[in-house]
Amino acid sequence: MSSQSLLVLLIIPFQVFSDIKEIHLTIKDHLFFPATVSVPANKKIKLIIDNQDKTPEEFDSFDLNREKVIFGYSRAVIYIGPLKQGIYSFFGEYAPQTAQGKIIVTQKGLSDAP
Amino acid sequence: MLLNTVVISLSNILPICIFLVLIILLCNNAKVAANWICLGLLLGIFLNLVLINTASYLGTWFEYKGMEYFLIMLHSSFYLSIIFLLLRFNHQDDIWLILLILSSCFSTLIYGNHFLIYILGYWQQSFAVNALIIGSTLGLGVCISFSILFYFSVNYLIKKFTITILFFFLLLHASGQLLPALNLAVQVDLITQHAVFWDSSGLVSESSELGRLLKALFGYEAKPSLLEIFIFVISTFLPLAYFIFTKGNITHNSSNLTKDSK
Repeated sequence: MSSQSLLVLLIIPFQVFSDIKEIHLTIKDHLFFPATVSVPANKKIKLIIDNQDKTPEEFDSFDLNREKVIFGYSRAVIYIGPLKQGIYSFFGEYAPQTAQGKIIVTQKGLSDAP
Repeated sequence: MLLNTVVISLSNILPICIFLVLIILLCNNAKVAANWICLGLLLGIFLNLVLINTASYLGTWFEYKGMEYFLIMLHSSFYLSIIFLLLRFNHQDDIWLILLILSSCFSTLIYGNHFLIYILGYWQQSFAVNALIIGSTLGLGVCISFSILFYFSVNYLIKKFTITILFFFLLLHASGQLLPALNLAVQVDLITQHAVFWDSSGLVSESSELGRLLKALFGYEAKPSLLEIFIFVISTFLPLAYFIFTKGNITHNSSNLTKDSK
């Protein structure tokens, strides 16, 4: 194998990886910020969730089929998608009354809603 | 908070109770003392406490994928321990007892983890203590009531028909543990997400009482992918077919077992 092809093999995974869009979510006072996020359809998304509360929280979504415990003052990473257009809700299992949010999947993936 | 504690208790304790019922029935049919299960449970609770204290550190490994990798191994180990437990049903030796302890330990680790994190996480908040105690007690009460009903129902079916029914229930429950492992692998981008094959959330929602019960029994998912269905079917029915075709090996082998238990 030539050194050029080896270089290509090494670079391609990083290029593919860099295509993944990152979305940051914060949990504070048992609320998600932002509570609504718009992402593009048919793309893989990397959700980075920061729990700024002292208590743990579990990111849970029946629509996205995701479940992840995030300890107090900790960070978690979850990959979602590729998703079809639609609205996918998520919630904090330990505080479901307040910690609620939605991921809106659109064709273009508009900017984050407030 | 009270209602939420009841829901979390049900979601996390019910699968342990269902597993305990099935494994106790397996011990009864194998004429092995069920005390070994208690050892597995205690070991599971101890390891859970260790895990909770190290989970935030473990979670940062491999670019915040450490916990998922650990859980994937745990879910897969649980499935394998059940398979080997059933394979060695007629050879209750030390290995069988170790498998019995390990499977009980894995079950407690898998399900008890989230429940303990919730209880310990909110325990320090003074307003939450009463809700946590009452909610957990109510949840545990419901789980115990269901377990008694489930125990006598499965026991009746075993006596009326065949012990293969118990094997089937155990395989269903164990295969249901492979689906979360698959979801965790997708969650950390280890494998690609596949399209939803069907959507039965309109019929039985995962968040409903029936949905939670079915999830505890065999890992019900309202929106499974084709890969999930394939893995579930293969991991349940392939070992079951093997056990049925080698039926002579799974008949009540009390003579051999009584010696061991003595």
